[in-house]
Amino acid sequence: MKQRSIQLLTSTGILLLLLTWVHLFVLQQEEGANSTLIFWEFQVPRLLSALLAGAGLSLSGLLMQNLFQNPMAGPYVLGINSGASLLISLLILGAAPTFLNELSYVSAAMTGAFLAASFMFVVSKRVQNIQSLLVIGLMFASFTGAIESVLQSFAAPEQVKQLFIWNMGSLQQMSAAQAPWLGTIIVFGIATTLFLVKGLNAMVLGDAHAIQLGIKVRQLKIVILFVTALLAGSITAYCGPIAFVGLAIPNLARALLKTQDHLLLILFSVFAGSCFLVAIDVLILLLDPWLSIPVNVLTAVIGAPYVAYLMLRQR
Amino acid sequence: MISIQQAQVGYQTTLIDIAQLALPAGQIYALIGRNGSGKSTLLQTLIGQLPLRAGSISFGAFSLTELQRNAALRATQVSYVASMFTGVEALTLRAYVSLGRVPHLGAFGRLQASDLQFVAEVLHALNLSDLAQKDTRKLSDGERQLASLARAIVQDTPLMVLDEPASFLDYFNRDLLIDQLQLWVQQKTERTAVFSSHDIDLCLQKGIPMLVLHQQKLTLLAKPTKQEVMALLSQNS
Amino acid sequence: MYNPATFQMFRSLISFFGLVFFFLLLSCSDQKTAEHSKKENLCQHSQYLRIYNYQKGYKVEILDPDQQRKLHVFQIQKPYARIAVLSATHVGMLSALGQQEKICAISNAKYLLDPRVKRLLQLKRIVDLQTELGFSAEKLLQRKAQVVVYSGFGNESQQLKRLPAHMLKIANFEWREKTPLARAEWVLLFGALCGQFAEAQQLFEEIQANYIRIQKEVQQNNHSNQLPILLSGNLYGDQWIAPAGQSFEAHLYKDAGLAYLFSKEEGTGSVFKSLAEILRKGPAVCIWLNPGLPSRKAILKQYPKAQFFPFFKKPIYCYTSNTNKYWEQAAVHPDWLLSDLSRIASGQTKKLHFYALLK
Repeated sequence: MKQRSIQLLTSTGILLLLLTWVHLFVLQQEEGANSTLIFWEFQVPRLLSALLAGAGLSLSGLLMQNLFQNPMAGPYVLGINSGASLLISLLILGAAPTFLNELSYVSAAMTGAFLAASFMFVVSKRVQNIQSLLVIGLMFASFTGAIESVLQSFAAPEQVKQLFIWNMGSLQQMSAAQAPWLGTIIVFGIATTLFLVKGLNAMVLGDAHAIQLGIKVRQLKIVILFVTALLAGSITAYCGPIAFVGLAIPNLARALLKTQDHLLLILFSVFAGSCFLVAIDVLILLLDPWLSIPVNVLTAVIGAPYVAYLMLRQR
Repeated sequence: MISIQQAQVGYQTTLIDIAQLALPAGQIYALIGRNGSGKSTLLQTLIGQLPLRAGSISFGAFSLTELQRNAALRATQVSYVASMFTGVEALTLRAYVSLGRVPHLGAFGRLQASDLQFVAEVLHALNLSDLAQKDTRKLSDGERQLASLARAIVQDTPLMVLDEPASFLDYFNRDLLIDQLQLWVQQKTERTAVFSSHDIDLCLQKGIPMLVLHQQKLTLLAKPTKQEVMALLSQNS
Repeated sequence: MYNPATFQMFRSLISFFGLVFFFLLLSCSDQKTAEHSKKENLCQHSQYLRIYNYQKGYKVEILDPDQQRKLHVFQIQKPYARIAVLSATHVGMLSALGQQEKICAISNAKYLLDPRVKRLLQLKRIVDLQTELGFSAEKLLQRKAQVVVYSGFGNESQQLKRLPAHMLKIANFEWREKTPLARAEWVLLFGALCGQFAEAQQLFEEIQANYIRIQKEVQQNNHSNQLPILLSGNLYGDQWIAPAGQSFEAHLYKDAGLAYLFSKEEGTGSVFKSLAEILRKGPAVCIWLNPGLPSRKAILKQYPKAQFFPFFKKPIYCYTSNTNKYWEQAAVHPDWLLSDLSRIASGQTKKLHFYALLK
């Protein structure tokens, strides 16, 4: 059992290295005068976006599934992205341009994500089943969408366009200068989560059970909300909303590893999440000569049927 | 040794009023009472989930209020077997039982070789070794109840509280449960187990001391007879 | 064997066939006149607009660019006095003819240029229907519009379908034309609608003459084979969107003496390119046109990595010296557009109608 987990982790790691190599050195070979510039400013940040967003989103999905005690939870379906999106819109459409520096962007997205996650968490205490919660998540998303539309009608066309582009989700927007910021946040998120393993394991059977095992459940939940907002918010700020990764990958992790040991689940989710997004981007690069596909289209094409399958299996 | 002084137990109103009661360690106690008499409420109080309305309870070195304040400490002192747990995806029986070791583990929740061996021994004693890799969702209700007991045993606390632990067990497994509990309280000094039950005949047959809930009172019968128990229970209006 | 019921049935059958026959005759005669007038199509350039002299007025045919069938066929016997136009381009065409008074409703007042239309809007003689896609059929009815001209995007919108049959609905496919002159020729449609057809013809002749003159000048001045390489469009999310090789824009670039980067791409609409391809082809680019933003700062704000585009240091031009003017007048004045682009090609930054060099 243990051996199988280790085998899976190593093979995912090797796959990740392979995909990284293909992504960076096989599919994006550049020649000519500014090939170095293109490599460092476009290709490397693009790869890092995929690696970091994949790892961070699937980890935040795993945390949310633990928090809501439901495998169908995730940052996208529960409207966490929408919260981030709303605050980013407020910033793009409302704030003075000089205020638009790195940190205000990221902190706005994280604040939005944290508020949305807290709201959904409070709501989750009052509804009985996940279906209702998912519907409320959808409602929340369309509500924030409506507010964004109202804001847009007052905004200049360039601002609306900027927001529209951001809302499409992309792995190619992050600059080389931004990469260390996102990298630091994601690594911090992963490291913090590793210290929560014991609590996360005990939470699997519910609050009362975890309390009985000596876990400070309320404290743990606040930390989970905070880390989730940190991960999902920062990724949403840099890459826009990216769907399905957070929901699909942790489910895949449990299905393959057949364990609730969160140390293994965290490690696998981080590796597999990165693998998934890098693989999607490799596919985009491969298809590039014929058609150019936005990243969210591909994650949906692969992720949505898998999530639908999980939903059906749940019944 | 559990000693209870002037304790009033209940949520909004006092359901049980215990003037004074001492339960010596090294014993298992059966909590007997009619439906709605407050058995679960008393058990919830014992495990620190429900504060006392008045009075005090002490468990050997610690008081109930101390344990309520410190969850980590409480988890090393009191273990609890709920009447039911539902399975969880990808959680095996062995992993579930191992969760009982959580209060004794570091932040990363790693099990040491000694922990693993302990878990294996308990599984063996409860005839669960063959089911160790089985998904908790696929276990029968009785198997889950035994697994819950195993989890509480590996938690290794002075007090174990069990809420109707035998309700889904067959005749042989009920026997096994009582035997294992009796063995458990004697393995180490200062161990006590309290379990609620409706199976008066089995408890009488095994000679288990009874705590009888009747008319908002708790009476300890160290060597109960059927007549005594029935007399107390039938006092209820 | 006389039966009144059978007789009744016979009578209705005969009248039915009579009716069918009548309609057949009618449609035949209609087709004949259509074939007859085909020889006198008054539009020389347009692919989707045909205007014929018909009795005392005009007969107009509009073709659907996607299905190559006739979408509208209608006659204009009397000039219309109340026209609703749902695009700035249409406002520009009516303004070019001096027919602003005929407008009864427009789609979005925010992007207006023409001072007379603005004045009429203030006087409430023109109503603003807000947006092009979500315009209100009810307001159009209240304004007693006789004609609605809208930009043709595939199917008719639900609001358009709700308009009554007596209201003339015209899809304008000016933006799908392959050449700038064909696009400008749609001014004839507005001329016919307003009873200003001769004036519209005269205006178009002037525009055409101007266009051809500039085009010839460009050809005469270009002695070398080394035309400046032009990149158009901007990054939109992960995709670079630019005019396709057979679009009227590509046509303009060619006529202006520019070597358009995507001139060999099929299609009349847009091409979608990956960033990787743009970066690969980027070093050859001499001029970046139409990023859709008014300054280099705005480009960087939208996409900070634009600073690393090989062509970011090259001259960047956009129609943003007066965006509303561009949307309103560029379609009807391809001569001005061509003049701008030929100046841009030869590195002149002054005397541009629409364009500005971005700082």
